[in-house]
Amino acid sequence: MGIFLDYWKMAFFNIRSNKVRAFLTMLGIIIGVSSVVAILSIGNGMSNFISGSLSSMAGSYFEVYTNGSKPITTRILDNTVEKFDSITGYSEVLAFKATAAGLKKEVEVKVESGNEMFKGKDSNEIIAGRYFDKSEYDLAKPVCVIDQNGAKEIFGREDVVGEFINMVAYGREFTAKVVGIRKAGSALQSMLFGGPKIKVEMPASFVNELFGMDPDSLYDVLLFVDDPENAVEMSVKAKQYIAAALNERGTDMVKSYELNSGIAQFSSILAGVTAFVMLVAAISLFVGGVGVMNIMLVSVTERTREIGIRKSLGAKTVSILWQFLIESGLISLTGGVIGIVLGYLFSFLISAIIKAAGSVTVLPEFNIVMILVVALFSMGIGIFFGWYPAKKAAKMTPIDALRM
Amino acid sequence: MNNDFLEIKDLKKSFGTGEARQDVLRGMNFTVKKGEFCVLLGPSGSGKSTLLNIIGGIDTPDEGYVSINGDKLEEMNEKQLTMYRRKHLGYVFQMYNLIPNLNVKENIEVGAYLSDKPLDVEEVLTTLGLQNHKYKYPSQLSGGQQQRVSIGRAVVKNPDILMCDEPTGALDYKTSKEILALIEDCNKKFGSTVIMVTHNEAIKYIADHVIKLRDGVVRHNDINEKKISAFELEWYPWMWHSKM
Repeated sequence: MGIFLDYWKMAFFNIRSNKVRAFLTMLGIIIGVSSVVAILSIGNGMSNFISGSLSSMAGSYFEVYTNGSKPITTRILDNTVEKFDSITGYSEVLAFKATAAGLKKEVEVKVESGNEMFKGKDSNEIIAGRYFDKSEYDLAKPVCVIDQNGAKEIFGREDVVGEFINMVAYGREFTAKVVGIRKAGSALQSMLFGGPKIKVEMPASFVNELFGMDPDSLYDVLLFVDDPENAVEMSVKAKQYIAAALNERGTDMVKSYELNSGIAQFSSILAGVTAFVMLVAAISLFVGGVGVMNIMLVSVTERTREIGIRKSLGAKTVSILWQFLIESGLISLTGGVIGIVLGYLFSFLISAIIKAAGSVTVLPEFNIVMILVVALFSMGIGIFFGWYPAKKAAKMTPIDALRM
Repeated sequence: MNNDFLEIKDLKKSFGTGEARQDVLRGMNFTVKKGEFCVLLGPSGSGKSTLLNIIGGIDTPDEGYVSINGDKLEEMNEKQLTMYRRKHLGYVFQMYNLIPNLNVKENIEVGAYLSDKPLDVEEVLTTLGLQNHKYKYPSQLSGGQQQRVSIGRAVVKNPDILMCDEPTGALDYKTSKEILALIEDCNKKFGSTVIMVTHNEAIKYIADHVIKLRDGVVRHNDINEKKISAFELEWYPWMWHSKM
């Protein structure tokens, strides 16, 4: 076994005595491995982030909406709630952009309105005050719940319960009293759902009155379920039921959207993108591997005499093979380890860039399995690409090797 | 049965074809006894190195055979030849051929790993006077020191046959004598059969058995009854290429 130690030693010394050459050879592997590590860890971080910030919202409700040609009446919705035990209630959804008068300048806000159940659409809790209640909804009171960031932007502070916000939308001015503050949502939520970052929630009854709309003609509703497990099934069933009630069975006038499937879709897109970028990174690993092969061929040529000596002393073909495989494995393993470290640093850099660009905190995620797999894979590349040169060395006859 | 250890029978070898064909060995015959110090003398081109390579199992003859202890090399396959080299042979090259990335001790260990019955590495280092240099690399050693390491690498295997290809060819007078004395020591101490190729005729005085080669055949095959030790040996540079 001692000779194995010597192979490692010889490989190490040989690499050390050709530092620049070995480094340039490793460079391909380093670039490949570091990009793979960075992509994997950021990809993992992304999907963690998405499931973390979205799945808390998912499951408690689903959305049913029409293409606008026929409204859904409250009677149909009442019947739906009655028919399906799992559906606990519904809320209309009316959302529009408005301009709010802020402390220094006008601020664009997104008004979302519904009934008191609309509170459950957002998983971020109410951190001050309360949500508007049923009586305020029934009386179409001009009250609102604003999110933390919005409070800061409009008033310059967070404790704004009891304050009034003046807003303009579609040429109509209105004033709403702040009754509650909601914790700020993650940036991804506004990124995914679009629109202004500030969210103002109001009773839909007030909005209907403001714009003179029919409170019984709904185009977009949320239906709440008792158990997240039922959300997907109910979204399908309720959609069919409502479509049937509107005489639109089998057409695509009525649609439903359930956040879990949205998350799944988003995750699969993310996985696809990650896989594609990985492929690109893998190509650079392949190129790095070819570099290893090239340098090993040079090494074999340079050390032909050494091979001859060892063979004439009685070294077996397989031990020459080992000697060179260990060397190429060591080169690419070293490159792999450096690549892992660099990839680790890169991923934090990317994370910082994402944060600076979108104020989203995506923490890169590493796990030991991933690192081991990458390290073994990079060593595997060395062995794979080192095989041909090593075989070439091992096959030399001692007399030919000594003559050179 | 006689006690012939190594038998060379009708060995022929040529290189090239047609016009360029060159017969290097043209039917060579001799035997060497176990434990003998045998010197193969001959000018350049007399076939010494080719013969040594064939005995070493790294080259093959066109005709004839080499047998060791009754085993013919020609009948061995690649694996058996490797095992033969590993078990029976120690090689000392003219140009030392050490592995530059390994230090003295490690270079000798390369030989030790390849043997079933290696000598103690430390003992070999002491015998060769290399104890103080064992952690040096070949590039830090003089020619004589490098040749000692090369001898160490060969004898540590405790080989039956120690093959020396012009071991003093690149060394000065004084160092050459030291190296010869060492080989002589190994021959006595470890009982290895020594086959030394040289063109330095003076060396014949320290051998048990002197075989002179010329143009691919054995010209003289003498047993030296009055052998002297390497330290008694004297020669001068102008004698090196004296006529045979």
